[in-house]
Amino acid sequence: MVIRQNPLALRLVRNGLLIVAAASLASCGVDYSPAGFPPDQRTRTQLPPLELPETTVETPPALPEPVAAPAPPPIAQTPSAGKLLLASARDQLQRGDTSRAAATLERALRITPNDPHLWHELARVRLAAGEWQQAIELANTSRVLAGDDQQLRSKNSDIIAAASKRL
Amino acid sequence: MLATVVSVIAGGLYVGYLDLIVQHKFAGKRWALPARVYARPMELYSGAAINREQLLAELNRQGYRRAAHAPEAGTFAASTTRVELYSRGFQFADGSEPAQRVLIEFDQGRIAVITPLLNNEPVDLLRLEPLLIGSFYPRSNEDRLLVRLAEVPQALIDALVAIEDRQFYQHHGVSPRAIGRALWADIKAGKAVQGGSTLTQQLVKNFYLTPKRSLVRKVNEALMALLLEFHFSKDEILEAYLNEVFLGQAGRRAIHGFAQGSQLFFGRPLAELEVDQLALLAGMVKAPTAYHPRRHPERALARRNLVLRVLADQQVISREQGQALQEKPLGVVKASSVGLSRYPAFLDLVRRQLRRDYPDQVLLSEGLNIFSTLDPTLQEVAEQGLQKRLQLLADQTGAAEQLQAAMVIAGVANSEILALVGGRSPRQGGFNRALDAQRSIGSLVKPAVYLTALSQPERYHLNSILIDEPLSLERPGKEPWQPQNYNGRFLGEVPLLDGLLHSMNVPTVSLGLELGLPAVADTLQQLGVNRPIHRQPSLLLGTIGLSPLEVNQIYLTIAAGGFVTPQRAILSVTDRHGETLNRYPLRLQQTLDARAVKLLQLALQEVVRRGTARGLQELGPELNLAAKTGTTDDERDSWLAGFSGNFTAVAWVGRDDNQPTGLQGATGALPLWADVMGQLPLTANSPTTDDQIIWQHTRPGEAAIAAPVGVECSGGYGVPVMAEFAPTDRRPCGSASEFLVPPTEFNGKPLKWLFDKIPWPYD
Repeated sequence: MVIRQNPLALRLVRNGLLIVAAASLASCGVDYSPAGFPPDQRTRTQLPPLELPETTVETPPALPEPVAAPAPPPIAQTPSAGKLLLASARDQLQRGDTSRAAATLERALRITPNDPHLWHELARVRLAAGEWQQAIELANTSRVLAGDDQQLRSKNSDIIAAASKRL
Repeated sequence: MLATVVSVIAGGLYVGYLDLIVQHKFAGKRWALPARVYARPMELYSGAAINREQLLAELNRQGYRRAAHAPEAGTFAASTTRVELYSRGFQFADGSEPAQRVLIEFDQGRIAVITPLLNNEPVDLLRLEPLLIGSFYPRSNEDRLLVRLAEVPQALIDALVAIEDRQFYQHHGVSPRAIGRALWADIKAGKAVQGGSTLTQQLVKNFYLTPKRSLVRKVNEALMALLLEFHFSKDEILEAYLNEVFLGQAGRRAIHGFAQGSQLFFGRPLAELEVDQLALLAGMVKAPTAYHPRRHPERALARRNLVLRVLADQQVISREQGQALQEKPLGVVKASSVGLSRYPAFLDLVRRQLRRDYPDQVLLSEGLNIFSTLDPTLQEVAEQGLQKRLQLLADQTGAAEQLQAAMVIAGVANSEILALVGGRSPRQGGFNRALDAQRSIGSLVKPAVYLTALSQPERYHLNSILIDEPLSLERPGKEPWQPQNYNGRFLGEVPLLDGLLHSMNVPTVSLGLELGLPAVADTLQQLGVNRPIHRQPSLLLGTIGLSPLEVNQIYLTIAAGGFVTPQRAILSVTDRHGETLNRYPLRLQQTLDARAVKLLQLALQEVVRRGTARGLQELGPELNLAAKTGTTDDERDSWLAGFSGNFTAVAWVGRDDNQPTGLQGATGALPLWADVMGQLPLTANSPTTDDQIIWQHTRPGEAAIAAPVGVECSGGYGVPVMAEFAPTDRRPCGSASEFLVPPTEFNGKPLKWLFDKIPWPYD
């Protein structure tokens, strides 16, 4: 930049004179319109990058290969609010947004905390995020709640087996 | 000539210098913004355990305005059975929630149906905006909520321009006419009495300059106002002004900007204010302290009406409208109803958890949004319940002033802290007993001792025999330690279950010594205790000092079947633009044998059925509540910790000076716990077991379990045992030929313990 190379004093004088000149020119009754101003770039407060601790939790390691997560079980058993969230969590997971999918499932668990399908889904999300130990713990929680649901039990076992291999 | 050149250059230099200042600060990050802490949002859906009163209380906390048929965002209408509301919408960390207009119908204390009123899209789930529960302020103590010009009602801008600077859109930063007028007034008065400042000058004054009044400063102000106008548009300047303006002091906080002023005085967003309310805010600019509507309501009213008259004169509003608006009261809400320092004890916890991850500088000035776990409905139930019960207890014990209490409530499934009360005056803050009172936990430690035993299934089950005989432990240089039972008697032998049910000291110490202190200390750590544990025999009777919050972690782990999930008060943090900076996800770790924990859960349910916490039966036997009482030496601390299917709660009652209260766990903390939990939508604990735990039939005093449950066996009772380790040593009882029939019909069904037929020798 040219300005950078000028001595500060010169720069100040030049800017100052320019402004004084421009201001006297501009004072000839220009009317500002109050409406319709596009927001100018200059008003935007730029947030400098924050020095924050690493969120290791939410940055899963790169997966060497896609993990064959078991197919999702049917949604039917969950009440509609939970069903809605479960569906959107699956969307988010499909898009690879494991962080948001987990948040959505945690929200669903606040509504129906004992739903083994939600815990199972959260286990799938952790598996996809490469968090093997959490996937196992969550699948275990789902297993405890699953009772006689053999299909869900075996899907939880699949997750535990898949995650255990990675540990 | 030379003199002219020199003075032009000097002047140019000076103006250039001012210009650097003007541009630098205006273009950079203009304000230190406080971090805002939000409660969990209320989730509305069919079946939600929210009644009409709770919903209305939440709308009230959020400053919703009553209006027929809820015509716009931030309004509601209510009949005796239904509520119509128009939510505001909110940008959450995990996505944005649109504003919705819905009709909500209730049935038996729950939401029955939600009908959409804006369009025909079904509303399965509606998340209200989260309640702002507090802020962490910058060092300047400036409290400010930024607003974009586009979000500011035009009436406010009209009023501001009309009353403060009519030429705003015509001048170039200074208004010679206004200065002339002001100067003339000053000369007449012989001192500075009137300011001829434009909005731009006012902004410059507040933004760049000290409040000192001097000629030099006045000249600088004018120059900088010209420079500001030279570089920036009217809209940019106006937007900055709207956010910078000082609107008064609220305690130590300086209120800046109209958006924050709107929240402070009207308890709702700027966009929802009426013209008269906007006129008041605009009128306050001139002298925020003198026109403070709570302290000087008459002056404020006169000022507001002046602004309304000016608006009518300038035909911004009609004369009739102006007249009508002048008739209205100020409409300012009570200071206490504004959510600025609600729930200080919980905020304290949030602050501590944040400090681990964010330096103060970021925390106090970057405008972070912190989404917390607090449930305002539960919190208010806990606060009110605690205050009422404490009053009753104080009357009862005659220790009115000294008696204190604390309470923590969390979700079993996720360890989220839902409510936290730090003392008898929950809104005042001060010593936070829920976090900082480390008190001996007494018998609350016993479940850890018994869990240690149950985790060795090859050696112990719930019917194992414990020794209850006088015990004396030598201590170097001290009297020998001789633990006593609460009633001073000894029974010789008691079943393990009974030691816990009746909170017997001597059998517990015998058991703990047999297990070894390191094993018990390990169990405490596996349950989530995160501090050094002194391995002395008195540990077995709970001399360890823990805060109510730490105790809650222990009982969460038990309630969650042996999974430790660290307690959380924060879910996520976003920056001032709504971008997620950090999430605090659910993490769990199984640290204990789920079967052993299940046995302990069943035993703690039995404590409520017929043990020391049986006072909780009044909440409903069908809930199968699990709990443990705790009382320390000379009745200095009264504890109750326990859980339903969905919540854990810990209650503590005692005195800050650690003097006796005359209260035991069952007479102090228990009724408090019952008062509060009794008002929550509790779900039942499961009394059933899966196939890893089976029920068997036995008789008191027999170390072995005799027969499967379901067989008539006089004097016998049912006991759950781990299937894998079920004792094989069987003895005949009753009609001996039948007792080996497996009790399959009992699995999966509630099973009543049969022991209540047996008289307990203490009662």
